[in-house]
Amino acid sequence: MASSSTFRAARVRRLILHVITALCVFFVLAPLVVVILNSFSSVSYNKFPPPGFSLKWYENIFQVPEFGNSAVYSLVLAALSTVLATVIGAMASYAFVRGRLFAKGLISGAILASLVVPKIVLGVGLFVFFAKIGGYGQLWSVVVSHAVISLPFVVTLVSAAMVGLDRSLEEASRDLGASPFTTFRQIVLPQIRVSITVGALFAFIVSFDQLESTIFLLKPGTETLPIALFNYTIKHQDPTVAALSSLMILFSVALVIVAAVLLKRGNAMEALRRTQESQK
Amino acid sequence: MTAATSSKPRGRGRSAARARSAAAGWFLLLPALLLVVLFFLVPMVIFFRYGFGTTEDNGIGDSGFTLEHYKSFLTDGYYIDILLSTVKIAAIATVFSVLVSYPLAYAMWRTGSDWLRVTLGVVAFLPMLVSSVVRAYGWQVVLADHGPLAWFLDVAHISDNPPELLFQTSGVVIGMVHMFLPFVVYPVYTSLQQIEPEVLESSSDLGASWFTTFRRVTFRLSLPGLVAGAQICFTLVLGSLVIPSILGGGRVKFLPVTIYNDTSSVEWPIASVESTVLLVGALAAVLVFGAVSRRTKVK
Repeated sequence: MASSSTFRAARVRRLILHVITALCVFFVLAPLVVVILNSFSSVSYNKFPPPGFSLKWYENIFQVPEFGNSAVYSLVLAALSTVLATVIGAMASYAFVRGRLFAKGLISGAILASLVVPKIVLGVGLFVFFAKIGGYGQLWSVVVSHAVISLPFVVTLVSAAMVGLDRSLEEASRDLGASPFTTFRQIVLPQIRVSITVGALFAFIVSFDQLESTIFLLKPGTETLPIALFNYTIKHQDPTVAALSSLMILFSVALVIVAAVLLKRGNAMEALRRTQESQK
Repeated sequence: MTAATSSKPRGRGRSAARARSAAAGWFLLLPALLLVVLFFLVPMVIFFRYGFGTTEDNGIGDSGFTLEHYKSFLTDGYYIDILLSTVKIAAIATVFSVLVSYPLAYAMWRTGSDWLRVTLGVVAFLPMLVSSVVRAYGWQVVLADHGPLAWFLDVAHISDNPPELLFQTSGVVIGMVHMFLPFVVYPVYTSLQQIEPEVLESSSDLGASWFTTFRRVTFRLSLPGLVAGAQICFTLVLGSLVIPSILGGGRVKFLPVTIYNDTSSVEWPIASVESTVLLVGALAAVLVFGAVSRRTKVK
């Protein structure tokens, strides 16, 4: 009797867990699904369910020149800052893991500190700085700002992967007369390729989604996509935002699929787990 | 430092190699260090300087020294209201993020099917890849008058007078929870995963019910992840502007919004004071959560 009642209790528990999980999934997906439904609405005001079907909001995206320009600007910006953060982040990671340096903790603390600073504080601070030294509104100043923000992600991911490397391979390469650069390229790089890819992917996503840190750095007229969208949302209420948002959701899903393929190929989950452990 | 003292240099070759390795280390580190110092630390210091600058002569506050801006912030009821509202929103959003994330992480951990685990993982992380503006807009549509929520409550005969959530603290909190959920799910899931199955088995073998096992073993062991997630969530809330702007509609008092407005109207000294307060709040949260985390670690 006792065993059948515990069995029943386990089933009830499983049911409750399923219901709660379903509610959580619903909560996460609801606003995204609603955005997509709303993008096909036939009316400009908010009405659910939409009274009719139309594609005019998708056409309307192309009537707003800021969207196209800002999308290009965002992609260029994210690409440049990703390259910058990934290259110097990988260099710094190698120095942290292999180099003999004093004040290592202090330096890595300085590199990781931007994670803790509220993004809006960082944004206003950088704006005041660039307004003062004269770089305000220029691409390079936004690129370095985004590189500062994505650098911690690259450094934690890549150095976690380097910690697990067998040092004797590098020593053998050096003993056989290879230069440090050749050793890095031929021995180290192939082993940490996955972590560098994941780090670069993180850097790209982080840069592409920056708003709080960036909104002051750009002159009106040159905007990133999230900022153009933000300004439009504050001013207008029509589903053009929904149409553009749907396209961005589609882009994210495509990105997830690409990431999943990459993760499957390399043991990236293992790399992520090691990152977590190294932070303890 | 430890490396240099623990192994004594053996001959000139070793120490030359060591000097070369240290030089190479600095060379590799230099770009990152320059970037962080020039475009993060120096700007922050310059910006915080404005909080102490006088605005009498030329008006922007980069010279002189005064505590006037701090005094007016800390004594003016207007700013204190904003500060309290900000902390309240961050605290409530953190609590609800944990309440929603925990079952999700628990289900990911307990499910026997790999398919369900991957699906839940993707569902939990997908929002992270969707721009915060898109998500804020989505909630604005969901919560609006004649929106899906009002429609559902009407159709299901729950209420034909929907609750007012948009442009209220509650709407802002809902958006925040949605925004920062993945940052809580991941650490909770990681710490649950580290629990050894034998521990759970021995608990139930000793006659503990599911609830006792959960309360005394599972939950205890997942606390470090929970605290880490809560800390990340709390800090991220403090820096966000999109959600409170779009879902608060200017009616919900929130410090980042005030900083945004004051910077737009070129009131840099007070924006600097507000930013310093926000940063101190974020650092205090890191310290408090860190202390709690150390106490929750089970040996």
